[in-house]
Amino acid sequence: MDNEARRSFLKGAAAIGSTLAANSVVAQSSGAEKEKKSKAAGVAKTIARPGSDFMVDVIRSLGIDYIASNPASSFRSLHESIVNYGGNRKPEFITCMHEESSVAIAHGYYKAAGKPMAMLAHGSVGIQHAAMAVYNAWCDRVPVVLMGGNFMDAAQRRPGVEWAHCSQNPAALLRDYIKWDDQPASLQHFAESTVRAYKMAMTPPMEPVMIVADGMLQEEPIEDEKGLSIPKLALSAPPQGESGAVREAAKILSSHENVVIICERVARNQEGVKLMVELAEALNAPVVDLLGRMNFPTTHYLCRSSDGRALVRDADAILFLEVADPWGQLNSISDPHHEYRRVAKADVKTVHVTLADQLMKSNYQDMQRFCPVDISISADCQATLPSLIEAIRKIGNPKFGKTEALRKEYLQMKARTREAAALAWDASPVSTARLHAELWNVLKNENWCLAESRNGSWAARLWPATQHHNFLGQSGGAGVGYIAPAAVGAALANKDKGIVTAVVQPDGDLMYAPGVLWTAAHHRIPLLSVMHNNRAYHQEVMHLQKMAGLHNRRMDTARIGTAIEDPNIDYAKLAQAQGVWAEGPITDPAKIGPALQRALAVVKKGEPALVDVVTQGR
Amino acid sequence: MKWVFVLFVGTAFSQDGDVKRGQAAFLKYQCYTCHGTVGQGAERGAGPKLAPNPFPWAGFQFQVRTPRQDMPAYRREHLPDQDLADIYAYVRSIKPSPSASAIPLLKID
Ligand code: HEC
Repeated sequence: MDNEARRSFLKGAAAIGSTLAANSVVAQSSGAEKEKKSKAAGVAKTIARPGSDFMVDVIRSLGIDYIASNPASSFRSLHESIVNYGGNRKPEFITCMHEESSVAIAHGYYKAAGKPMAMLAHGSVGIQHAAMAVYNAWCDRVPVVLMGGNFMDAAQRRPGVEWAHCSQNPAALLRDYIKWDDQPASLQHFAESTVRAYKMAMTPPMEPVMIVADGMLQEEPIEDEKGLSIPKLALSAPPQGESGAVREAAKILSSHENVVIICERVARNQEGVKLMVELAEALNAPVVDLLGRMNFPTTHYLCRSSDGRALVRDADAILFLEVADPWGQLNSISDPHHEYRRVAKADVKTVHVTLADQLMKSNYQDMQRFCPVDISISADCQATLPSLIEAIRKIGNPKFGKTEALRKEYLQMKARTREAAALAWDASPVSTARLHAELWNVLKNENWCLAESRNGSWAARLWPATQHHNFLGQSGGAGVGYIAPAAVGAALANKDKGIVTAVVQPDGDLMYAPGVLWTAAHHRIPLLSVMHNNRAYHQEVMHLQKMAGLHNRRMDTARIGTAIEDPNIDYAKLAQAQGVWAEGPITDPAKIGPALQRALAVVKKGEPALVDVVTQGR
Repeated sequence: MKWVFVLFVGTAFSQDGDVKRGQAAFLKYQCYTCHGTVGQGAERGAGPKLAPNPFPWAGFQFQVRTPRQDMPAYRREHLPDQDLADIYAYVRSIKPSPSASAIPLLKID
C-alpha cells in the first residue's frame, strides 16, 4: 500500500469508527492534569500512521519472519501494526502462552533457520517470565531479538496495572546475560538501535539482544516521516584467528602422535561440517563432538564422540574448538564426593580456538573453571578452519598408517553401542535405546532434524547423521523447559524446507509450559514429539539417592518430591486438549512403531503429533 | 576393609535368594533408576549394565556396600543382607537380550 492509498483507507476507517468513538477521551498530552477530549463531537480521534508502523518497517528490513509473543498492553500498538499494517506476514505473530516459550521458540528457530526471530514481552512481568530462557540462549551463544514494551513517561501511564507493568530499566533484569540493549527515545533512535542490536547479535560470539519499544513512541503518530531512515544492515564478517598463532597451532598438532579434536559450537552450517571433516582428515585425528551444534558426521570413521574419556586419557595433543568447559575435559570432579582427578596426561599440549574471552560477564558462572592452554586463539572457529587446515596441510602430517586402526576402533565403538542398545530390548517401561531405534526407523527415509540432541544420547550414538540440521544441540544453560518450545521453534523454521522435525520430549521439561503444544497446533507447526515419559525428574531422583548414600540414610524415599506420578499425567490427553493429534501412554514397546508411523503421517500433512511412551529412567 | 571380607564369608552362599522378592527389592531400593529395571544400564554414565553376567557375588556385594566411585553406598541398616541376596538372585536371573544382529531395527548404518 503506498502512502496515498493508506491515507484514504484510514480516512474510511476513521469514518466507520467515528460513531463508536464519539465520546472517547484520548490522552496524548504529556501534562497529566490536562484533560483532552476529541476535537469535536462526532469526529473520532485517530492516528493514521502510528510510530509502531515504522517499527514494523524496521523489523521487516532485517528479514525477521516471526515474532513470538504472549500479547500484552505495553506493546499493543506494535502488535496491532504487525497484524494490520504489516498484514501479519514477515513478521508473523506467533501466539505463545508463556514468555519462556516465546524465547525458547526463537532459540530453537535460530538453530534450525540460521537466522534470528524476535520475541515481544511486557518490559516487566513478561521479561521476568522470559529470563530463564534468555539465559539458556546466552549460554548457547544464540542470537534472539528480544523486544519489550514499556511506558517510559510516567505522566502518560494509566493508573493501576500499567504502573505495575512498567519499569525504569526493563533490560536490567537480563543485562547479565544479553549482549546489548537499548530503550530508544525516538523512532530514528529505534531504527538505529534495532539494526545495531541485530548486527551485534549476529556477530560471533552471537548472543541475545534487547530493544525496549516505548509505549507512547509506538502509539503516537509519526511526526516527520521524511526525516526517518532505516540504516542498511551489513553483518560483520566473523573474526579469523591470527595467522602466526594458527601456524603455531598447526605445528603442535602435526608433531604429536595422538591428537584429539574436541568440538562443541563450531559449525554454523553445512560448510562448517565439511571443514571439520577436512580438518580431521588433515590430521587423521579422532573427533569428539560435544554436539553444541552438529559439527561432525557420525558416519565418519574419525567420529569417536562416545570414546571421549579414553581418547583424552591417551592424547598427546588436544585441539579444543569452541568448547565451553575444556577444564572438564582434562579433569574430573567426582560426585558426590567432589574428589579431583586428572584425566589427561600432565604434559598434554592444548590449543583452544574460542571467542569465550571476548564476552564474559561476572555474575553468572557459565564461564566454567579457568583452563590454562598452550595456545589460545581468540577467533571464530568456522572462519578460522580454512587457514588452520591449510597450515596443517603445508606441514604435512607424518603420522601415516593410523587409518586402519582408527577405522577398526570406530567400528568397534559402533558395535559396542548396538550391543548396549539391544539390552532390555523388550522391557517395559520401554528402554531409551528402543525408543530411539523406533524413532530412527520412521525418520530414516526422511530429511530429518532432531530438535534436541546431546553427546552420549542414543540418537548421537546410533543414528547416522551427516547434515548440519540433523542435530540441533541442547539448551546451553540446562534450564529445564527448553526442549518443548525449542522444538516448536525448530519445526517452525523447518516446515517449509521439507525437513521432518522430531523431538524426544522429557515429561518434566514439557510441564514447564505445556501450552506450547497449543501454539504448535494453532500455527500448524509440524513437530513429531515422542515422550520420554519416565514419570520423574529423573536426574533429581539420582541426586537424592546420592545424598542419602552420602548421609548414610535410607534410599527408598528418593522419589518423594522427584516423581511425577500419583496421578500419572496423561500426555496424550494433554496434547489432544490443545488440538494436537496424540496417542498413548504406550507401555508395550511393540506398539511404538505403528503409533509413530501414524504420527509421522499427521506431521507430513503439516500438523503436530505426539506419542506418549512410558520409558525407563534413562 | 576387614569387615567387608567377613561379610563376604558370612553371606557367601546367599545366591539362593529369592528372585521374585529380589525384583521387588531392586525396585524398592531403586537400583533401577541408575541401572534400568532389567539391569541394562542407563544413558550418559548414570550407571553401567548389571546383567547379563553380573559381577560375582563377592564383588557385587562389595560394590553395593562400598562403591568404587559415584554410586551411592547402601549400608546394611538400610539394605539388609537378605534383601541384597534377593537382589542378586534377581540380577542373575535376568536373561540375555537377543544380540544386536538379531534385531532388525538395530541394523543401522
Ligand atoms: C544413583 C545411581 C545408582 C544407584 C541408585 C545404584 N547404582 Fe550401582 N552403580 C552406579 C554407578 C555410577 C556405578 C559405576 C561404579 C561407581 O561409580 O561406583 C555402579 C556400579 C554398580 C555395580 C558394579 C557394576 C559395574 O560394572 O561396575 C553393581 C553390581 C551395582 N552398581 C549394583 C547396584 C545395586 C544392586 C543397586 C541397588 C541396591 C545400585 N547399584 C544402585 C550407580 C548407581
